[in-house]
Amino acid sequence: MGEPILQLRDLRVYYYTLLGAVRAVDGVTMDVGRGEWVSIVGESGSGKSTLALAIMRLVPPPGRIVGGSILFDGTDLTRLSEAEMRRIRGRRIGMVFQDPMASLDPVRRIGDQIADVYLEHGVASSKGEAIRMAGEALEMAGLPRDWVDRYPHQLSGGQRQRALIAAAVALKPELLIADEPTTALDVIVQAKIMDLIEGLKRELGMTVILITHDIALAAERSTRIAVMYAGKLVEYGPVDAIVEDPLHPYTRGLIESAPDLWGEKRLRGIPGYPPDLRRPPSGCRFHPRCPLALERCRSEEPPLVRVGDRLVACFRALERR
Amino acid sequence: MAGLARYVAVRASLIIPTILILYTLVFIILRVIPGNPVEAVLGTRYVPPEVIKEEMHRLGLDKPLYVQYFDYLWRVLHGDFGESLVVRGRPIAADLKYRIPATIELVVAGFIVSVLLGIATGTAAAVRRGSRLDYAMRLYGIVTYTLFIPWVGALLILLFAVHLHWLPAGGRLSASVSLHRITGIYTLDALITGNWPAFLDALRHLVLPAFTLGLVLSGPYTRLVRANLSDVLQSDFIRAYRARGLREGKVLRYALRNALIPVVTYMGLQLAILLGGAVLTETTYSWPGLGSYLYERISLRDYPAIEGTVIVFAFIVSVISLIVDVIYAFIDPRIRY
Amino acid sequence: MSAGRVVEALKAPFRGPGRGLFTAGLAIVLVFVVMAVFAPWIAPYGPTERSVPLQLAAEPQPPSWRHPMGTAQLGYDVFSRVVWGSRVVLYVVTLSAILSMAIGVPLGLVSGYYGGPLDRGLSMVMDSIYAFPGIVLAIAVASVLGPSPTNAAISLSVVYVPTFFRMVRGQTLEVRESLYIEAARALGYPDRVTLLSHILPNVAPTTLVVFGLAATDAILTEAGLAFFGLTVSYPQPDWGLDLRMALKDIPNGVWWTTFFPGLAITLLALGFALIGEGLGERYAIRTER
Ligand SMILES: Nc1ncnc2c1ncn2[C@@H]1O[C@H](COP(=O)(O)OP(=O)(O)OP(=O)(O)O)[C@@H](O)[C@H]1O
Ligand code: SF4
Ligand SMILES: [Mg+2]
Repeated sequence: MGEPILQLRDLRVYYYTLLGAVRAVDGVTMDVGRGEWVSIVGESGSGKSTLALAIMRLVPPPGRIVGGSILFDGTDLTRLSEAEMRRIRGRRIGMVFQDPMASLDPVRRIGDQIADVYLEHGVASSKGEAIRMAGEALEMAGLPRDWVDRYPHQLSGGQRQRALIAAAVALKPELLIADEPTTALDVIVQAKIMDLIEGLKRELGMTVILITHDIALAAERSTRIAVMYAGKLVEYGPVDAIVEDPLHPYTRGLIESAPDLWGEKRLRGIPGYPPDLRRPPSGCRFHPRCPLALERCRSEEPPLVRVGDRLVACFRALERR
Repeated sequence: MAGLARYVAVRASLIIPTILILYTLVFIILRVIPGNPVEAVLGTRYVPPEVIKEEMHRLGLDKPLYVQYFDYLWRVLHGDFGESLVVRGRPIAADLKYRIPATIELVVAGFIVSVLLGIATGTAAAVRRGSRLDYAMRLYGIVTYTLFIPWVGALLILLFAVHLHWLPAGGRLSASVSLHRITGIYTLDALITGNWPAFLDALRHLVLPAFTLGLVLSGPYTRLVRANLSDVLQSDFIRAYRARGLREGKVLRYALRNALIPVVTYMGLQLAILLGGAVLTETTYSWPGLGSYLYERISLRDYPAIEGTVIVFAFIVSVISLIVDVIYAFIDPRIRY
Repeated sequence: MSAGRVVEALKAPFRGPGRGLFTAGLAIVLVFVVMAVFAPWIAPYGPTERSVPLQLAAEPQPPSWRHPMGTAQLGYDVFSRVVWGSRVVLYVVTLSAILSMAIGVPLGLVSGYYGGPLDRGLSMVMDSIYAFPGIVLAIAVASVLGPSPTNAAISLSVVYVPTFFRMVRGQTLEVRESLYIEAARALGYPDRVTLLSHILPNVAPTTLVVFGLAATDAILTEAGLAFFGLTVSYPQPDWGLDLRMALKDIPNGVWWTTFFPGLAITLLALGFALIGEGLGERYAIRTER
């Protein structure tokens, strides 16, 4: 891992709902090195998307970044003005979302939507030039150049995701955040899209943050895996170490409940449900579901500590040091 | 585009049953239900039966109903609405032809005002959803709809014509201004002939009626735009636009474009309500269109004139709904032809 | 339905979202109802009584303590005419609401239940009427029936039957579909009684919301008919007609003869609109406007 491109420091993002503050991201600290592929995994509702949106400074109201910092290439994004932040979005950080069916404007041509990026960031000087560049971007994403004239409804889900990736990498960003880019697609298309992202990463020298709840998918191409539970980072380390020897009981549960190679669910899942993030459990947030929980886990919060080449937040994991 | 052409053709052919149904409806109401229109007109004083009979014959009202039905339909399709009962020998078609452009001018202007007001208020509400401004705009949507047009008209005339003398209280053109009539839509005629004084004068006459009509009928747009736009603003593609660094102004523009598409389907219905509103607006502002014609002829009990006017209204409604549907097909690329 | 459930149902609009709007609307409407019922006690003068000395009757007099809304031509007291006028308006609108519901609701049920050519034919006719500018239609009907409050009510119901028809038909179809899907699995087809017992509770709140909105429209259309002289004949009091008669005062800067009758029209319409809005919010019903 080279110098870090992204450093999150005690990042906290809360949604202020009528029924109380949802602590969707609650004190996350992590580094992502330049050129890495980091996958963030965790059950639904663990705060993965919120974390990604926070990096883009696009957390929707009633959500707000309430504390911590996001250092991107040394600049704290939380301190930038909206105009400065806009120059980073789409230009230095690209983002791809989960639902390709809904992420394209249904009434505008694909080419126009990609061309926007070139025009907005002053890369193209005319509409025509921007459309030509959009054609190139489509080609880079594996779609025919002349599909710039197509409307979203003329494309399949996988093709739309390619168009969206084309728009996200149009300006060759340093960092690409992909939030469950293949969840809505069937398995074969999934693999192709992942191949595309991997190819583009190599070609453009991007750093990739992939968000998924599929730990098998994460294991395939990542350099490191980060595991989130209830708004917290609970384990972070190299893929092999995490997959072969998970230290955190939650990570172990995720791996054991993951579908095997033939796509069949294994019998063991993690019993219980993720907590209500308005009133997270005291101490270790995983303790109500943890098979290894100790008395102190109820009252004391385990700190994120380094164990070998990874970070983990569990008292029991420390015993193995 | 061949698909679109076919769609337009199919949709246009659907206008025929619509017009027929409305024609039948008007026919039933005006010829089947009532007693005797001639007696109704001459009603108050004594008239010898022979005179009534002769008059009925002249108007073709003594034929069996089904004959009348096709007779009148045939004539209407040829632009013949018969003669006035009151002004003997005056073809109603001539009156209607003179009045239609005035109504169209008012309705189009009122339509533009209502759409602009509705988009402005609805957008303000959607962008500041949940705020006090949003609440105020929702109230605007409810209250404007309950305003009685002649009342608003009276108050505006009081303020802008009687007290401030800024705008004329009624009519379409000052007596001192001359204008060569081409389409009968005065602002348009003035533009065509490059007659600026007449254009300004016609516009000044148009301001209050159009604003009255537009204000009262803008409420539904406020609601629709508010609801649609706040949905669209939360949709994934808007977030995707933002994630590519697009300026908020541009994002809002694209959002509006999506939010307004369903609004177009409402326009057909709304234009019918606008036509209804125009009847009251015209009467309040002495605007010589179909509505004030209807008003005059009702007090004179001139049945053929009433019948002709209502049929023309039905025709306009059908044509408008056709136009709106075609516009919709043009602006929404997803529509299946 | 037990008495307890009826009470619960009656209390429902006063709770939950939209209760503020509903209560405000109901209060406004009740004020006008009281006005109409107790007109002889509330109005200081008769509707066509000269309320000022003869020498003052020629010109409208501005509002004063004795005449809080001023006087109109012939010395009529505007306040008294507004009070008396509420009787005609409420009579016409109530009668038309009853008529259009009595016709539109059963027709919608039958049409939606049986479907087929009957449904297609009825829907086509109803949609055509619905698409037609309501006030023009009402004017046409009223002009052949002749000016009277009852005829005005009949004309209005021609306009509003399709509103109720469309709504009830839509709901019937919806319920029928879902019941068929459910019942076809186990029991064959649902019988008529089951269907009705499922449809009616669903239709009731929507009918109320649509009633609120249709009544709003009906008030304004009634005022339009009155404005056209198609409800009562002057000098009988009706707000729309009073407003029409007062338009000629405007060039003289006389505002009170138009302002107060018009305000009454708008307030009453607003009352019904708020009731409809409140109920709509309470039962989360979206209407076309
Ligand atoms: N707009 C919002 N308002 C209130 N709470 C929200 C909002 N968006 C998300 N949350 C809450 O924040 C928490 C984290 O949500 P987030 O979408 O970040 O999770 P996730 O890990 O991405 O889940 P998934 O796998 O389902 O995408 C959840 O408890 C969710 O209910
Ligand atoms: S800290 Fe305790 S409760 Fe939390 S994961 Fe470790 S053992 Fe389980
Ligand atoms: Mg997510």
